[in-house]
Amino acid sequence: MPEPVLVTESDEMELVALAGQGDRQAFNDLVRRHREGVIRVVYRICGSIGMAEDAAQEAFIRAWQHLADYKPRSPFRNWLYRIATNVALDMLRREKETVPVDDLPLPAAGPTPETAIVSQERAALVQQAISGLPDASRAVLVLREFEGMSYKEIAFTLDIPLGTVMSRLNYARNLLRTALAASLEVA
Amino acid sequence: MNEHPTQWLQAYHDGELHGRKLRELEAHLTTCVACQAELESLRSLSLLLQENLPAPSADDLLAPDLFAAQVQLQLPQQQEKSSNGKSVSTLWFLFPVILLLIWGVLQATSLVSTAALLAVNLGFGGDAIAEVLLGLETFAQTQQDVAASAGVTFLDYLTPTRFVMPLAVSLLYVCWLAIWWVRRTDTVSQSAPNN
Repeated sequence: MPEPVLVTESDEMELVALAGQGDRQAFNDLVRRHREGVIRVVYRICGSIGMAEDAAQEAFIRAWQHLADYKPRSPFRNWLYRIATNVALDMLRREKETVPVDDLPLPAAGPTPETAIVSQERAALVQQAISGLPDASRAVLVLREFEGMSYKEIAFTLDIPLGTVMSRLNYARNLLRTALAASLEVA
Repeated sequence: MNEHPTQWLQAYHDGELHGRKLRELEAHLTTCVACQAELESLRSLSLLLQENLPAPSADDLLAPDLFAAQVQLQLPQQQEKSSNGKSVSTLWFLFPVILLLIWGVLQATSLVSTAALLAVNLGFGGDAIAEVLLGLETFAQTQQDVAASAGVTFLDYLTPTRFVMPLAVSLLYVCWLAIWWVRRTDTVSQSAPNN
């Protein structure tokens, strides 16, 4: 798998500037560089790989359209994640109109070892619990627990005050601790 | 720190506490069993989430080249202007409109004060002005009566100076719109696709 040639932050800024002038090749390099991270974020929000890839593509397209709005004072990655989070939440909102949270796919019972089934069931429960969180809290939780972002980075990425990051995170964790109480006891 | 500092435990768990607060909390944790349990619960939750919701494996995803190619195919031909650029365009358009509004207000004020002055000069004094202030309808009637009784016609008010200002503003407005239109056309042609 060929990796993008440019790796430093200044190179990235150069790519962003070129892409902002309409350079599609430069934007292609940015897509390749951030594809994995964007998919990871939206996957944790959506809970489905197919939806995550669609949302990631949509996020890159929106980023291309709004590159003129990007301010280089913050990392490009955070700006991109902000777009990706919004796209994922929008997509999930549309999806929820047709599929209730309780109907999210559970692992299919098949000829798998018992431990694997237990593990799959637990993964599905975790995903269901995350999907059941309010959108705003879920986004904060995903960026903190899975992306390891600092409160400050999350505040920038979601465009909310630092205090709101803390309160939403606290709220999400309390809900999850209640929803996953059984799994937490086993662990 | 006698109370349970539950609000700081989460920040501590996330590595966001520093300095004095951090030292205080660590000192508290050495003695408080309840806070130790709360911290352990936060750690267990983080572990549960990370262990049970791993990132999607590369095998489940589109190949990077294919993904990038699909994005490229869907990219619109045109990038949008920055919101700053939009604000400038909006202001550019609004400026003559605001100018016209200001001019309208000034004209109305001038007309009212002239009429009031005329009323005073023709002997209506404070009462007529009071009527003017009480309502435009009363004012209009008063003005017509005054004009009729004094033999003053509407044409007497139409002096050349009264046309200068409106004409100048109208001309300015038309020029402004023309320049705005030319600028807009230029911007659209510059942002047209180049590949």
